Amino acid sequence: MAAEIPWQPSTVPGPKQAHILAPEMCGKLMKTAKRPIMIVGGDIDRTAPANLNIVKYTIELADALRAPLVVSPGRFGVFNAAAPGRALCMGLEEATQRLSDPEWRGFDGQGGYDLAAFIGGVYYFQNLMLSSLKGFAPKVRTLSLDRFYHPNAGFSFPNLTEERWVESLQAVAKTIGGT
Amino acid sequence: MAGPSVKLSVKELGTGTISIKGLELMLGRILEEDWEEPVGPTPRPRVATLRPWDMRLLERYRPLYSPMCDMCCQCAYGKCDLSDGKKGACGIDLRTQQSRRMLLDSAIGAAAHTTHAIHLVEYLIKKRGRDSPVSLGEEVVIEAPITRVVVGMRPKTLGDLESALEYVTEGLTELLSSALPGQESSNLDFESKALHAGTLDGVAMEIADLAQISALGYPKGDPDSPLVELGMGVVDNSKPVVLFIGHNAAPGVEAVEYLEESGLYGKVELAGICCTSHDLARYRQGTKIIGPMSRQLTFVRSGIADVVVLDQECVRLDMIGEALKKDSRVITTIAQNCGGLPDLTAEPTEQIVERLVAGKDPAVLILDPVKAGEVAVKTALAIAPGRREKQYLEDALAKASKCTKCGSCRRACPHDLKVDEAVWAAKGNDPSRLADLYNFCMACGKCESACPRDLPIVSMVQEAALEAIRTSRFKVRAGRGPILDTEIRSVGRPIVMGEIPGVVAFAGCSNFPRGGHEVVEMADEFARRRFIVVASGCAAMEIGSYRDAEGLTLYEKYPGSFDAGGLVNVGSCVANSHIIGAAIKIANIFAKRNLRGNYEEIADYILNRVGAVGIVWGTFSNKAEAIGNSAVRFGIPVILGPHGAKHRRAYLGRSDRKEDWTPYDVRTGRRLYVGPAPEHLWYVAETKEEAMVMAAKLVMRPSDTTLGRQIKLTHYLDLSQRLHGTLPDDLHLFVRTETDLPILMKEQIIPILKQKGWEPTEIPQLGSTLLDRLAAGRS
Repeated sequence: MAAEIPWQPSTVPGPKQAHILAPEMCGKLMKTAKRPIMIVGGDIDRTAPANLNIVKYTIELADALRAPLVVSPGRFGVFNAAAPGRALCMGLEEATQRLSDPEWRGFDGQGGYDLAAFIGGVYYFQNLMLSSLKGFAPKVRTLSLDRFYHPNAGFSFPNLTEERWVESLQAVAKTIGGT
Repeated sequence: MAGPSVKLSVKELGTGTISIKGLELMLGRILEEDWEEPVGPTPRPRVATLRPWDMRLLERYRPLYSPMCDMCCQCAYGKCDLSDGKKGACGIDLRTQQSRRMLLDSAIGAAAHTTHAIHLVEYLIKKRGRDSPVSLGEEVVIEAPITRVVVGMRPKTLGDLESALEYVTEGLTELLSSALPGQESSNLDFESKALHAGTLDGVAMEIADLAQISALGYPKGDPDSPLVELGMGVVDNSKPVVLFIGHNAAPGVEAVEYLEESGLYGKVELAGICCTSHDLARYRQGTKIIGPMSRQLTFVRSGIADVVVLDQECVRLDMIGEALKKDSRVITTIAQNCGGLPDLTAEPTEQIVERLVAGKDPAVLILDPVKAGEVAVKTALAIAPGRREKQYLEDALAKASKCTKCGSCRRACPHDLKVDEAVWAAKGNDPSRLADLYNFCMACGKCESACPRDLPIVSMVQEAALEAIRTSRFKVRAGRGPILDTEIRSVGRPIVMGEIPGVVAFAGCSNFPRGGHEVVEMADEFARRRFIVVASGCAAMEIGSYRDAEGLTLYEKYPGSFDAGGLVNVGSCVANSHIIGAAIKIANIFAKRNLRGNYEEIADYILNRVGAVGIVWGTFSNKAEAIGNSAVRFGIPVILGPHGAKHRRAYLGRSDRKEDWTPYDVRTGRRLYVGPAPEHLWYVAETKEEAMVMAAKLVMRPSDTTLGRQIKLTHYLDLSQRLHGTLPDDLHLFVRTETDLPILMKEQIIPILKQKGWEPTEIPQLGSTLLDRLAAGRS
């Protein structure tokens, strides 16, 4: 059992909830993944403080991981403008469906992904996509890099202040060796 | 279902001992003798009758489950933890439990509409007689398309509607029994049953609206139905005010009639919230629509209503207590919502009024709409003068001083609105941020419940936005009900050929993730692009709740016809049946497909040829799930707002699996790759930008002509470029031949096609089908 209460307390799912990880451990988890993928939600710029260029950060993190970067269609344009051709435009439901399919060979046809790192989804919606993966994609580890504790992820930050969140993201990047 | 079909009528019989007049006995199911159309393969389908069709859909559109909870709490074996592949004590797994939940939700929604229909039909038979004709006017010959297809009957009188409702009720009982632990064990079969609940819901909705349109004289498909007043500020509170909340118009209709008979019409304000108000506005001009269901708490707390009449569905469960706090009187009117109140149905009217006025029983149950309407009006007339002397708005904003900015309000907010920051700013004498919340907040009150300082946050928002609320006056076109057969004749061909890019229907509740303006923006965009835009229920009200730079609401900006660039308000929730009905009528009127008991063929036609899509942006209730299931089984995809993921299930196609998109070519009987159209059947979008582009994609159908596909692609590509900042990555999947390409974009697209390794594919000349019996050489 996790010691943290979900950001929206009513999303508590049951006994199995996300392990809280320190930023450095998150970084190590991502770095050691063989086939990581990053999934960016439609609330990405709403949740980020003004002193953090979350778009640039996310792209650089994905680059450092050499991970595909899936962006929710509503915010895809911002990412595509920042790094043309880098991101893939796909709704979170479609991405979740593909990740749940053990026979899916990934966007490059080389195989499925072993770690899905989520950031910036509409909280209650992303929570349910993580729930879907928790229930039906046992081979995919999930990680939330959001400011808010996501109980249905495999691993999550706790609920953080904006300052602590920015520090945590920087620590993740430092561990990975990116931005 | 086969059964005895005996109808015995005795006009007059006299013997030495008995005398009978007008006796009519009906045994079993009656098949109409004068309907030339042959009975199709599936009249009155039972739970498993349409299972083969469902399995065809589910093979292509696989369920994606998103559990709200890992636990199953349904029986005393549990709770059972179903995470990590664990099974419950009854043997159920997480996937099956999610689908069972979907069945239950859909059946609850369908049962609500069915009960609504039963109440209306009973009431109207009492009022008008069993033989009162069912008619939607001379321009609507196909009066009940869903009922014709599903039940296989053509209702002619109010009495006939009872037979259809009996069929629905039996079906719902069968469905509910399947959800007992120890019965159904397959998630796909639960899905089939949930879809069947949706089908029954469609019949119930159609019967309810058919009955009230026929018997109460609502508009019968009139594109120019009147513009009626809408908004929180439309009520003239210098008059006595009766507020109706819910979906059953009967008590409101009776209030109108009592006022008219007494010569008092216009002297009392009759206003409504949620679908009851739609239907009152369809019944009589001069009644007012305050707004969608999300306005209940705010309006009742204003104290403006002298009497609050509650009927059924979507009524907040704390309305009685909230109204009484404001010294309003309350009448509940439906057995589904007795509210713990004393049943005064059998008391004389004057006695009930006396008890209400004296405050001896400030809230009562009256299970008779005629009496309830009269009591409501008389009570309002009696207490209004005294109530006008009092001030009901509390000084809520002053309480902001108690805020500690603990954040509990924000964390309780379903939309994650920054309520804490707004209250904190109000504490610092800046109420503007609270005022700003007004158009985003659905006034659910969870923030208040969570606040450890008991701050009345909804009332604080209300007070901060008071000026905006008082001046909130808009226009909505009264629900017009059915789509005319003549309109279908006119648009059927261009819709099927794709020349009208599609029908986009905005339905459902007001649980909008980022405010109601998003649904207005979407409706405006599609109407401007000359799609046919249709609206119903709370979404239809929200669409009227904003003005453009020229001061016009969308209903004043666009015509009310079912045509390219039209904006059609069909009416209340039960009027959703007309949207599905329009697609069915296209199959019948344009394509000459038989309707009678011919479900699969009609659904197959719609799925493959009719470019319609529903958007349920503010989904909330089980009824929305039932309506959604009703649509998708008929082949109409639905897109939900992000809260839609809480319904726990989507139906998603896989565009990367070519083998999933090979229906039969009707002409040759061969399997033919037609591209992923429509790609999904039940899709939850995170943002409006995602929803709009998805809607433009989901209206594509395999049978589009090349001109039609050009037009649809133009919108899909243009919206994608504007809202996603780029052309869609999957555009090559929707180009069958180069002639499909929008002429002005050819140069831009052809290099992309080359890069994707695109090759032309065959276009099914006579269309495609999932039903082998409809493909040449396969029957």
